[in-house]
Amino acid sequence: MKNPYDILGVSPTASDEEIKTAYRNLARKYHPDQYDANPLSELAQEKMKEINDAYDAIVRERQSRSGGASAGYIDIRSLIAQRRYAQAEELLDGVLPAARNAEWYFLKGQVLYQKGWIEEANRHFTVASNMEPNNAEYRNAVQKSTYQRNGGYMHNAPNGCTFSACDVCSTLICADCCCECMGGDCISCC
Amino acid sequence: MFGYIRIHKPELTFREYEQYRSIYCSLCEALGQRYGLAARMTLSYDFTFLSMFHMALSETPATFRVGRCPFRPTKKRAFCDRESTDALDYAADVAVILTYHKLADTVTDERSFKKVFAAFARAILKRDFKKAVHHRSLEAQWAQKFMEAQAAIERENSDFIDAAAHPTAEFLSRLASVGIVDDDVRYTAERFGYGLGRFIYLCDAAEDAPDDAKRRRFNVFVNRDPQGFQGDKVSDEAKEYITQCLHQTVAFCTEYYEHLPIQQFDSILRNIIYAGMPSTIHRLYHSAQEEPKV
Repeated sequence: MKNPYDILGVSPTASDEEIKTAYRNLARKYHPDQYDANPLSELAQEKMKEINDAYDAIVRERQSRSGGASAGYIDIRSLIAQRRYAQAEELLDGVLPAARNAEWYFLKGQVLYQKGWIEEANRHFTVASNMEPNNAEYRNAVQKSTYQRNGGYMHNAPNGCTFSACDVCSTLICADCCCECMGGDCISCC
Repeated sequence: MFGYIRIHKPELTFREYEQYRSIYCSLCEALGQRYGLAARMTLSYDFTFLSMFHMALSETPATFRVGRCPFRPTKKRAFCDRESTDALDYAADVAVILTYHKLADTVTDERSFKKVFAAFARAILKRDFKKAVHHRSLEAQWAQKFMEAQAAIERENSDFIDAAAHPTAEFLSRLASVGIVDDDVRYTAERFGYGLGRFIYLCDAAEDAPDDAKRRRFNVFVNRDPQGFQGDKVSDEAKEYITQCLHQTVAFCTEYYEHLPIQQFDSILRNIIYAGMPSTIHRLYHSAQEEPKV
């Protein structure tokens, strides 16, 4: 396909609104209904398809940039999903430092996290999120880390087993007394 | 370095507590019967946890019987039938090996009083250590590599938290995943063990930090933030950082624990992970009576 932006006649930095307007104008011009019983109808059909494909390509590319996989890192994401972390890391490390974008930092962070290198992982997630503040995926990684660091995981404890030692001592003494009443001995020195 | 992986008593039922204690007692018994009186001093909560963890992942449940403790003969205790599980013998062997290495470490690192005590303890344990190495040559090699990797980190005087914790974490990851046949389960157990080892290392580093700062001994937290450990005090920033770092390590463990096919002792293990380990973190910088900010 030719450059989709050229096909729609817009600049690559055009806003989403401008892209949409350009598409609508071209679609109106080349729509098959306009060419009914016209010898140029086949050509118009081809042009329409070209315009549609170009518009789809631009929309997809813009969506992927703002969150979600971009073409370059799909293979690494798939490796991570398959838990083939060593290979993923190898590929990531192969990317030159100058070419390391936000997504690189995010994916490297994921690999580091599962390796258990948590502090390094956090650093990478933060860099990714700072490079692309609007990216929800990277922001979530940073937020999850903050949540965990503040003990949020304790509230997820199944069975409701949590450390919320409201007055540890009195609870212990109480438990010990009950224990002794039953013939046991929780705390032998009490 | 031992004793960070413990139960949180207030949240255990009496039955769970008795079960936990029976495993603790069974480990003591295994040490005594496999080695002798000296080896019993290597008993710890951490290896009690390891035994329970292995039993929990085993296909066949461990069974129990009633007996008496040789040190407190008036009290009846429950003991694990050692025929029903390998986990206790395994934990006993590793406990001896690791304690011996730790004592050797103390002898080279510490000064005066601790050094003498450690040297004495090490001498008593030497024969048991050799026997344990014979039982578990693979684990002994891992332990040797672990100690060497640890020494290398200290020589580098690293300020890199993850790297410093790595040798301990890796060692525990192997211990936790030994003997597991299923690939997925083994991977999960390995990651869980990694988190556990990391937790133990970092708790130890956190606890020793003020002292290490004063004596200019290696400590990764001090290296990372020297200002945080001036004099005898730990700065609020340092405390917060360490607390958060440890919490996230426990969170890491929980993520993998939830995927393990636990057959036995699930509630006790959960108590240790979700309540016991956080309470260890809390105890670092709070006295027992204070309420944690959860």
